[in-house]
Formats: sequence, C-alpha cells, structure tokens
Amino acid sequence: MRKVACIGAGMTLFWRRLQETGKEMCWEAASMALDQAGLTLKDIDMVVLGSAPDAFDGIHMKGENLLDGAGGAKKPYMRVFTGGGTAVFTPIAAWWHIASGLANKVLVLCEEKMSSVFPHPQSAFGHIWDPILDRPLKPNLVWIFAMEMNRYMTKHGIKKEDIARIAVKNKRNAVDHPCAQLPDPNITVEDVLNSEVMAWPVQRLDISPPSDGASALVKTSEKVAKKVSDDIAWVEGTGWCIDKTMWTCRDLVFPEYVARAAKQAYRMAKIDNPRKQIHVAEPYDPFDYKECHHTEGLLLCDKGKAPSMTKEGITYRDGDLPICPSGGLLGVGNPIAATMGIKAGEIYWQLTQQAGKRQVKNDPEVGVCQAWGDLMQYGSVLVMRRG
Amino acid sequence: MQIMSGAVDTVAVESHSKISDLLTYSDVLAFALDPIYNRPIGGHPHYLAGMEMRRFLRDSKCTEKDCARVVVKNRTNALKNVSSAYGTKLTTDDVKRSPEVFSPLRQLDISNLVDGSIVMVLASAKKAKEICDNPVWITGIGWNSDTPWIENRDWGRAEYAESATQMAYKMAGIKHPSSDIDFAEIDDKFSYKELEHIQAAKLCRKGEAGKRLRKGTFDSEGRLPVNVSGGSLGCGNLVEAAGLHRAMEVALQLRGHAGRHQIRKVVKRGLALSWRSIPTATGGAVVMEVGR
Repeated sequence: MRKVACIGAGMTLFWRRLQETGKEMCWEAASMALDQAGLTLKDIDMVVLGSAPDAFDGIHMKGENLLDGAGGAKKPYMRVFTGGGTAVFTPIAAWWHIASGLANKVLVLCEEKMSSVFPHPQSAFGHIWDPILDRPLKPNLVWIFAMEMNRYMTKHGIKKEDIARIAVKNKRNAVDHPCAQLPDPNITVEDVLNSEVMAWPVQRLDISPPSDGASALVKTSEKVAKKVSDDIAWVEGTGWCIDKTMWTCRDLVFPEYVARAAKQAYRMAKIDNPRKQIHVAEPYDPFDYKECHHTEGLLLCDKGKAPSMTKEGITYRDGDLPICPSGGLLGVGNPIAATMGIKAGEIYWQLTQQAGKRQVKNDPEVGVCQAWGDLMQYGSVLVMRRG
Repeated sequence: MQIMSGAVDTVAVESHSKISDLLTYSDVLAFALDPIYNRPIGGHPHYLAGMEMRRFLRDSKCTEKDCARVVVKNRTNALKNVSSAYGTKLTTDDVKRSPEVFSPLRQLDISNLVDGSIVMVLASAKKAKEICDNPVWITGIGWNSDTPWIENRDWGRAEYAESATQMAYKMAGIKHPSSDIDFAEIDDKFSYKELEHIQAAKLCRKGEAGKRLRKGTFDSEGRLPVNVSGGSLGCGNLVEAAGLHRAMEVALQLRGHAGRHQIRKVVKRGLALSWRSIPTATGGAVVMEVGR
C-alpha cells in the first residue's frame, strides 16, 4: 500500500449562488487547492469528482457537465456518488487512485448546487423512497429524522437542550469560517428550543441549511508530496460501509454502519484506542443529534454519552477532543457533497496548523472525518495524520 | 483500484438498467445537455449522433452500408446469445429501408433500450488463486473524458476511446493492438460507433475499419471478432450498464463459458471498450487475459 498525502485544500463560499454555474464554483475551489499545493492543472494525472443526485443541479449526468470546471477534460476522470457520504467518500476514492499505483497526483473536487431546485430541494428528496412501500406515504426527510432523533433521545434519556447545545457550538464556531452561511455569535440554547417546530423533536435551528458550493483537495504520492510541499497530512486510514436499504429495518439508536466504517479505517491506521489517539474530529452534522450519533459511531465515546461531552466542554476548540471546529454543516452550510471542505478539508487545515482563528488548541497529530449519506444508511470515514 | 490499493480482497461489481420505467427517455437525455447553450435547441438529443455519424463517414472512408453491415453482423451474432433481446436475421437492404430518423442515422442503426443487470466478482491475485481454478486476469484498465462541450470536440474520431485504450494497453504491455488482441467487445450503441471505436482502439489502421469489416475480419469466425455477443445492437442497450456488459462478455469468452456464441478459435486476450452515450465523450477500456 503506497502512502498518500494531502497537500492542498480549497473551498468556495457556501451560499445560494444562482449567479454562478457549477463549473465556475468547481474552478474556484480547484484553483485554491492547486495554488496551496503549488501545482498547476498540467501536473495533475487524474481527477475525481463527487456530487450528489443530478436532480439538484437539474442536469442529467452532471458529472459530465462539471468535468471541465473540475479540470477533468482529456484526463482520466471519475465521478463518485454516495449521497451525503460523498463528502468523505470522494477523498477515499482519490486515495485508491494513488494507493493502487495508478496515479501520482490527483485533484479531488466536490460540488453541489441545490438552489436550482424550485421551490425547495426537499421536493427532489421525495424520490429517494422505495416507490412501493414508502413513497405512497409521501414521507419528508425531516419526519424520518424526527423519528430517529426521538428514538435516540428516548432510548438514552437525553434532554433536548443537551442536543441543542451542539447546534449552538457549531453555529458559533462557524463565525470564524470565511465560507459560512449561518454563523451566529450570539445564538443560545433558548433560541434553538424556541425555533419553529418542523416535526417534533426537530426544530428549525436543529437543521443545517441547503446550500450551493464546491470544495477541492490535492492528493499525491509520498515522493511528489515531499518534493513540492511542507504542509503535508498523510491519509492513514479509509473505511466505508452501508446498511440495509429499508430504513424500517435499521437500528435507529446507533449507526452500526459508521462504527464498521470507522473500525476499517482505524485498523488501517493502527488506531486501537480512538478516544486517546484521535485529537480532532469532523463527524457529519446535518442535524445536531447526528453529530452525537456519529461521534458515538466513530467510537469517540460510549453510546448515549456524546451530548454530555459538549456539556462538559470537551468538544469545544479549547477542549480535549474538538468536534466540528469548522462550524460544521449546521454553521457553515450543507451543500451535500461539497461539505468535503469542512470535513476532509478542515482536518487537513487543522493538522497542518493552517486553520487560522479556527485552529484547535490541543496541537493535533491525528484527525478523523466522517460523512453519512445514501438513504441515511451509509458511512465513510477518513483518518489523517500530520506530516 | 480498491483491490490494488490493498484495502479489500474481493469486490462484487454490479450495474443495471431498468430503463423500462422511464417513459420520456429523450427528455431525460435533453437534461444532460448544457442548460444554457445547448438545451434550448430542443429536439431528441440523438440528432447529435446523426451529426457525428455524418462527420465520421466523411473522415473515415466508411460508408452508410458499412454501418448497416455492423447492424447485420451484431444482430445475427445475437441469435446465438441466450441473454440477447434483438437477435434476428437482417440484410443491409433492411437497414437501408428503415426510416432515416436522424439523418444519416436510420432506425436500425440505433440500439434498443433494455432492462438487465450484470455482476462480476473481482479478487486479488492471492485470493483468486485460492478460490478459483480458471481466473481471468485484468491486465490493463483505462478511462478518459473529452471536453463536455459538444462544440469543442473533434467529431471525426473518438478521442476519449483513443486515450482510454492507450492507458489500458500501456498497463497491459500491448504494443500492437491489432495483432496482440484476439477479440473485442466494443460499444455499439449506434452502428457507426463500433467502427469509430475500432479505429480509436487501433484494432485496424486508420480509415480501414470499413474495409476490414467487409473482409470479414470482425466476424465471429474472423481474425479479430468484434461483438460476438451481439453487442448493444443485438442484445439491447443496457444504458449505463452496457460497459460492464461488454466486460462480462469478454470474461465469458476467455473462460470458455460463452455457450453457443463461444468463439471457435482459442482466445487468450480480449478488449472491452465502453462509451457513456450521447451527449458525453467519456469512455473506459479494460484488457483481460487468461493463461498467465
């Protein structure tokens, strides 16, 4: 297995960006990442692009449409897609390209443009359900999450305010992120608890906003990285796992698929005690309770104990194990696949001490990021170590 | 790549088409066109194939009749393939009499959409030797995309297929594809595409695809059989799964499991070449071998 390095990252502002095409956003993120890596598009061997359903951009086979903006024209170019999991699955796919020996320099792009869906991206989600058993009930994503959140709270006896505290932490963290859509320096737990109820117990401020944006990484082989870069983070472990298609057949309390993906990644990274050996984490947080779910899935705490970590201050930037120091999806925004910038991208910046005002205080050596997607049953996990 | 990187030992690869659920194929295809520059033109996007065919015929010394010969060959080949839907005996006159839908592309030059599913199981060399007596080895892979702008492509040749096959040949150590490769399964979603792809894969000299076809080189009994399975024209077009279908047919031939459409001569090395269809310029190639 060849060593794979991350040597550059870039991302665009996450916002409703009707004036720009997906190609343009890809170009913006890609040039940032290439500039940071000190490479040009001519140096790149292969390109990997991640983007969620075509329905959002309103372009069939949108990977094809985006390919020149992503720098993939006349190169081996591949689009991967695992729903929300794409955000961390795309860098994993780029890792294959290099670890397998096929490529030395890979540009990794993630793009999403949800503003094209009228009136709201929720209508596109209406088509992800099983056409026979689920769709006639006309389910809405928030309902399903409400059931999952309720089950999680009931099973472990967790109070709503302990979960709301996570939304507050992330939206406040996002204040220091230049790309953030929903930062709020003054938000309080009461604000979350008093926000509009979408489907109990999910309230408006428990949810991340739909967004447009793109993000990019540059990955290279060991030899290239040592030659061109001083700011290196090594990819130490990768893992991915999918649970059953029917959501009615899943454990709604504990994301077993995330745990399996995490174990695969930790085994590769030779991590046997994640709580001690991991210093910063970016679990996927489209909902505040999902950060708890995924922190537990990543085996960073016992089942049902994630909300109390934030209560005790462990997960803040100056805590022992900072979680979502970027501001996460709750604060920075949720352009599905493009959240790679605040997951894999943020871990890269944190490990190489380039996160600026967002820099965590515990001098991290090892970081983990995770994304969650497909039909809410897919986990992708990436572990990086500072070079 | 998942296996070569050492992350896993065995992988199941699945690809399927359930296109019969779709009532408005041309409308969905139109959504693949650039929303600002191309989509407003309207019409069935297959007009792009008609335009490309005309340019290819002009540049390549192939004729409309050669394209008809591809249709006749593939649909006849499909008669022997148990999983084919469109096997039949045709003549080039039948093709010529079919309506000209996207001039010069005729109804019978276009493959018909079908449902189906393909699965292949891949394993690392170590694992394969443990669990399988006659594994087929993947010795080269390649893929490439040309520009997405239909205005900027070289319409007379399939540049993506040239790059993809070159990458695969380099990995497999193939220097003279037309003699080193025993047979090929090549994308034929439109009849002219088979000829264009044969030239791109350098299975004949430039401009000679039509001539070789007339001489019978690509027949099932020929020196370099192409689409013995019947291809997409004969078996039906599995849309996004058509590429894995080509690869699976190569594996079946190499293992001697192709049944009635097994090539008579001994085959040791085959090429599968795919294309993502209108309006893309994206293709993949894989070289497979036995007896190494």
